[in-house]
Amino acid sequence: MSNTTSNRSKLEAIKQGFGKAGPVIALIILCIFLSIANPNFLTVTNILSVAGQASYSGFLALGMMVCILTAGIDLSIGFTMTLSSVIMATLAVKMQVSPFISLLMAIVSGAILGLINGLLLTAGKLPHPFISTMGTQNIYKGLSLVITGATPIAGLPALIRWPGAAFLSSNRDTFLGKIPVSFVLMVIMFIIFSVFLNYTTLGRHIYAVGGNIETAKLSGINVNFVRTSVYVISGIMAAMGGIILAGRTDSAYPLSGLLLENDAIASVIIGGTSFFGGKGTVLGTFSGVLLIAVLRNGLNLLNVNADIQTVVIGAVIIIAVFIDVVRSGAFTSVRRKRKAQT
Amino acid sequence: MKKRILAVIVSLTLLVLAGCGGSGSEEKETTAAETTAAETTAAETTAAETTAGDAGADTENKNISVILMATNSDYWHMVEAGAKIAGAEFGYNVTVIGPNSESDSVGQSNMVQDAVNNKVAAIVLAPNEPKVLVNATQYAKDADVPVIIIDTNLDTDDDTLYESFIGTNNYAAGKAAAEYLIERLEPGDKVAIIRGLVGQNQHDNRSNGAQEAFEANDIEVVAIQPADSDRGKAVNVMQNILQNNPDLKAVYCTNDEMALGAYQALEGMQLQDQVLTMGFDGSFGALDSIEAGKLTGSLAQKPIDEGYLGVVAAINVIEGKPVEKNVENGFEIVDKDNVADFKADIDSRMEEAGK
Repeated sequence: MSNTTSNRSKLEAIKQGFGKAGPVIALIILCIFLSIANPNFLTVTNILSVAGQASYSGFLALGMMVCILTAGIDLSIGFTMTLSSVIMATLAVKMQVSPFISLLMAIVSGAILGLINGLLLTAGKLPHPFISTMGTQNIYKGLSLVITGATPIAGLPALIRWPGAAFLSSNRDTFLGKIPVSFVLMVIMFIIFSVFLNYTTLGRHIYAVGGNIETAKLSGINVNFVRTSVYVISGIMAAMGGIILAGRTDSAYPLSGLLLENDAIASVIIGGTSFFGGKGTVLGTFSGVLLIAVLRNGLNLLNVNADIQTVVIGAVIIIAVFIDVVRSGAFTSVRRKRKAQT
Repeated sequence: MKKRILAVIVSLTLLVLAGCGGSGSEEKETTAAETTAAETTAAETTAAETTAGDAGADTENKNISVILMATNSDYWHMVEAGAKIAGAEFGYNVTVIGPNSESDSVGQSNMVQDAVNNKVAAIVLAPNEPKVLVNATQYAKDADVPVIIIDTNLDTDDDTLYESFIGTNNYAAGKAAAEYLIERLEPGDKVAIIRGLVGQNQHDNRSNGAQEAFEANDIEVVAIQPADSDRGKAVNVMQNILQNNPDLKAVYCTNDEMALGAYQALEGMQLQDQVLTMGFDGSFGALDSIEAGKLTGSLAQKPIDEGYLGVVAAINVIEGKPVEKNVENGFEIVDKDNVADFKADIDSRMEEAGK
């Protein structure tokens, strides 16, 4: 009997360890393959420009991840990003508001737009965030077009551009001069989220609500507060992603958020977060974000048409989830067999 | 389990490469992918060798990357054909890529950056957003990769970012389209203009050029309305204009999609014989319609020339020859008299490019 228990715990340990490492392993294999397929892949310049390309999607993926952890979803995340960056650019460029206040207003706008999503769900009692955030997605998109008159706002002040456009050193020939500030900010944010989700009350409540909402309610968690919070967090992350993207392209343009929610959902799912909530790691999402960025970059380097790239990313999502299903299925059957033997 | 993941990922990547990697070795690579699924490690090395052989053959850099606004319309297929003809003619390796949609400016920016990292000798770029793509072009300049801009110019004061710009003079083209209609109208006749999104530079110019020509010739422009380059919206816009102006004599649209939509509305109200319909672009749909005696004409741009001249300019820059800073790609008015020749010319050149 004791033998079985130790076997089971060993299996559990392997399963958990592998669950975390799966996306990382996939990422490493992809990198090895691409460095063999194209000599220009594994260069400092290229790797660090992939890091820059991944940075704004990293913020969106974190926002999406907390929503999915509660078994929700934020389809409006792309245009929350756009609308907050458009508001920021309008303030800074057209109304000559100070750059610092404009940056702050981007974050505030993101939080408010997220709060609207959360309140529609909890106070408005709309049946599922899929519906409410699909509605706000269109509203935010439309407002972005209206505010900008459908043309991009360029010529942002240096402070606003800094997070998205600057490098750690102004001398581009040095190694530090190739590391984008945006990537460093993204890594810092992932570390913050790792601490937040594992070691704070709200973080643990997010997992609890996603795991089983009824149990969470019974154990005294303010479920509506948690569910509203995740959309506010998602809105703030979207706004930060928007600041970075605006810096990167030196403009806020009204269609920048188009389909970005797709990549955000894909990174989270590839990273092993359960779509039914309650399960998922920050490290997994980090790998998911990089996996998609590396995949896009690699396919560009191999001159693969964008249409085919879309097919590949679709296939990767399905395969990632499929592996997850097979893995948990295989472990369950092994466990059953062992149980039957004893 | 590790093996399974490995096999799936490697074979997936291989399948992709096999699907689009190129002509001759396609079959071989697909088999490689199938074997991989069974025996992981051995197949991985073989497969890697195959691809490495494919990619690393060049001794001197003759790679030109052509990055279009998108790759999913007739117009861009023709630009692609022109670019490939030029590549084949001068012995350069031309690859043509572009994002899924013309609104994906971030995707296009990343493609420029990746092409630079891929150490191409030159980039030919049709920016899908004149402001957003400035930054990506700066990245190329910093890495000393020359950029040729085609179709729509960048919105920047720094003209050292690109070597040459090749595109249609939309203002002159709009004027020419209007003059074609004026020859067929009487002074005092009423015309309407249906245009693309307000604020889109090329549509502003196409519309303004025509408006000025009409007004200088005593033709009354009764309406200038946007239909966002969309066929469906143009049907409604045309119907509304006709409600107020049943005696309209001509409509000029700043792209062919809208012209085809306007014609639908005219046909629905049985006014197609009274109103001349002029489009802009020379798309296949419009050419067919002109041939069938429906649309009056279209101001055809020359996308094949645009792609061709773009790549030729890139080659000249690579070989250290001088290039002109601004090149006007010509245009041509197509109507029922010359549509057959115009189509035959396109067909033969598309065939030459192997499309």
